[in-house]
Amino acid sequence: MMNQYYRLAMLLLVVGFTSCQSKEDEIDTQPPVIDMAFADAFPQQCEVLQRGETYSIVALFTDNFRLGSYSLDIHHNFDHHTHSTDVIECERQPSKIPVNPWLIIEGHEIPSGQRHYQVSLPLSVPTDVDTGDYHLMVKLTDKEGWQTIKGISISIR
Amino acid sequence: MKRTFIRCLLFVLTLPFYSACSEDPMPEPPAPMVNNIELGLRDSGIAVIGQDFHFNADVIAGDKIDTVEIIIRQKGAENYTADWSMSLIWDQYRGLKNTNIHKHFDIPEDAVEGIYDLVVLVKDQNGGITEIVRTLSIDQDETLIN
Repeated sequence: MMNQYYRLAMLLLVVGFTSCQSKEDEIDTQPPVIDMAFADAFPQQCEVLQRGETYSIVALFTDNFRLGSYSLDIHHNFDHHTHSTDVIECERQPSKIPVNPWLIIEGHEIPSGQRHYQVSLPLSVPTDVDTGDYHLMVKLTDKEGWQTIKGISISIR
Repeated sequence: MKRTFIRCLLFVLTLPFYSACSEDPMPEPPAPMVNNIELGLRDSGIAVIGQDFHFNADVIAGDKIDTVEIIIRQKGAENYTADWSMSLIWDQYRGLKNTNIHKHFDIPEDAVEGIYDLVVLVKDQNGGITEIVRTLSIDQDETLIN
């Protein structure tokens, strides 16, 4: 009889300990990662794109839990503005007033449940947009809402 | 009797483990943090009437961002030729844990020159609010920022 009580006590103790384990390791506290430091990644800092040409934006996205979505933002930098994200300024053309600047703001969902995702997104440069300095911003968001932004300076010729 | 005693003993011995599992009262969630504010090109603190205005800030939510708002309002101690204010609210950041706010918008032609407060107001989904007030000069002369 005592042996049964001993087993029961041990079982209850184990249940007690395991049910008290912290759940902190289940909380996502890390933003996702945008990797554009490999050979096929595009565009690189200070890349020159030609009007009328089509390119592919290539980047590798990773997250410790689950990726959510990404967006692309291309806007002119004719006024030489700055970002607090990692845009590196290249040799800049003189500032000017935009006439028909290229502007892209578009979002894309990442297939659910992914922790790694390589994007290859076609990008056609219109023939009639202003040439000059632009910023290309890639914004990656995971399911928890953490966001990473990578800013790249490009030039349209 | 012995059986009852052992049952009671087991109950008392295991009780702390269950009570220890009850959640402590949650501390007040932190308010959002706002950093790297830039008002105007190169953070000049100058806006030109009728011209594009550059605004940048980094936000880290206490829980998740609800809305981001900027308000340009007249200061009580300044003199103006007319009443004027403007505000913009953005909800596109709702649900994010962190983000970079980077906006360009025009200062309207009917804006009134003077020294203003620019209020950055970030509301969190947990109810927390962070308000940062910076001084902004609104001018007619665009050569001030070139």
